Amino acid sequence: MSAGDGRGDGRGGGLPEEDLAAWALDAVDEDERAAVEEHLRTSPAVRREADALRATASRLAGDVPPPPGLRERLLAEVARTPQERPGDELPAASPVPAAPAAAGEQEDPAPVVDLRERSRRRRGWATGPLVAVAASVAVAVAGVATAVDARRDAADARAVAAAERRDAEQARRVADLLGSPAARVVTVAATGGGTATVVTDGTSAAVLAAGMPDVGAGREYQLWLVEGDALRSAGTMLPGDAEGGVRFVADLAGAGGVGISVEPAGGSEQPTTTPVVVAPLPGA
Amino acid sequence: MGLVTAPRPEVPPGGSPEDDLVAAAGGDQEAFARFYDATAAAVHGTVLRVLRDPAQSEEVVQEVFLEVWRTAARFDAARGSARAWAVTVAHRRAVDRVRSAQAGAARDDRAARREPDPYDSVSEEVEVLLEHDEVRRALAALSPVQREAVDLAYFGGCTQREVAERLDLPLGTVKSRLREALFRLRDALGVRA
Repeated sequence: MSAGDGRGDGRGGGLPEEDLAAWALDAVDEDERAAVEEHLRTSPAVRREADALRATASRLAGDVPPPPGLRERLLAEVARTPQERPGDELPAASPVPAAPAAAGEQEDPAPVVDLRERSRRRRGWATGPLVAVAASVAVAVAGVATAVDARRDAADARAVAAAERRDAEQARRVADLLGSPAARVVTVAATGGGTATVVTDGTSAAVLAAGMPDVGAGREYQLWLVEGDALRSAGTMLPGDAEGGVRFVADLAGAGGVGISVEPAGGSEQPTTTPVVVAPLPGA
Repeated sequence: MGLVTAPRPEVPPGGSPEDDLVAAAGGDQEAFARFYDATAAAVHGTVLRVLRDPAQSEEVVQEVFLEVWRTAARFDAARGSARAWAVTVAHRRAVDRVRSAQAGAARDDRAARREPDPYDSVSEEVEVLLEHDEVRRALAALSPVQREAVDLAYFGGCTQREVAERLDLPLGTVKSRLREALFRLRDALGVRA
């Protein structure tokens, strides 16, 4: 705590309404934002005030025309970008290929191997330290479920159902990986908060992100494999999965470590931001 | 196609940004292009003001409009103008980028890390170019300490906690400063609740 914080930092005390202006200016942290927005859902009068403050903030910067080439690039991108649908009851009139919530998953370049078969052969070897990891996996998976709840109102219901099936499947795969006698575990702190835990048997790996901050709409965490001097993408984690997000890597192919960076939704070819996590692969 | 006289409202060129955004939510790319034309300068101005880097700003503006396109159906005209909605999306995303860049740079003393700002000289010029007269007058009506807090928070991407650390003030003081400043700006700009 800094010297200036002496009279208490207000977390836990104070009404969400006190943070309304800071919220309108995007000067709140994630906890404060959540508290304010929860408050707005229950109080129409405060919400009107909040909207007016947002409208005020939105006028402060002024106009600067963007570079002319941007319009054409953007509209080309728009032409191939599917839109969210408000609900399933809409007739399927337009050929929207997928709900956006699932888009990152579909582009997953790392196919999942069947870890269950391997672990079945070695059942019974899991020992002490792994139990603690198994417990944290349970927490992580619960976190995923919560994240799914939170985005339920925004996302296509079918995508949410698919995400829930995926989450259950992930929990089983992590448990199976932990059952391998070759399982090694490392946990590192992420810059900006939270931790990443890597479970690997030397061939495949599960990376569990816990308590890492929401990266905001349109951005995702992306997982990287460090192969000598090169980085290979191992897929993205949806923003909503940031708490307790799980990502599998089927083929480590000699990777010596993993990294996680914040990237635009859909992922990047190479990291465009400094990784928030860099972890050696245990046993590599 | 069989869409002979669908109840789709015809959006004349020059319809309001709200009309265009609603039409865009239904998949109308021309309406979306009009919406872009009407709001791109505001979105870009906001992003540039926060990021201060033209190349990064251009990238973020593209991301913002793609997000607006994807999520246009969420726009609720009862809560504000379409322009304000787009600018809000833009500001949030620009701030996210500032914060994740800082998170990547170092995890301790994050607010202080912003101190030797390599863009400060640019910032001064940009500022002059950016502000509308009306907004400039409104900002000028703030006390210097209010203005400082708003600058750090809205344009600097600082959280209120970071503003407090940076100005060495109690958090409560910063909260009330931001509150008073924003209410004053709201009144000066004639924004109604």
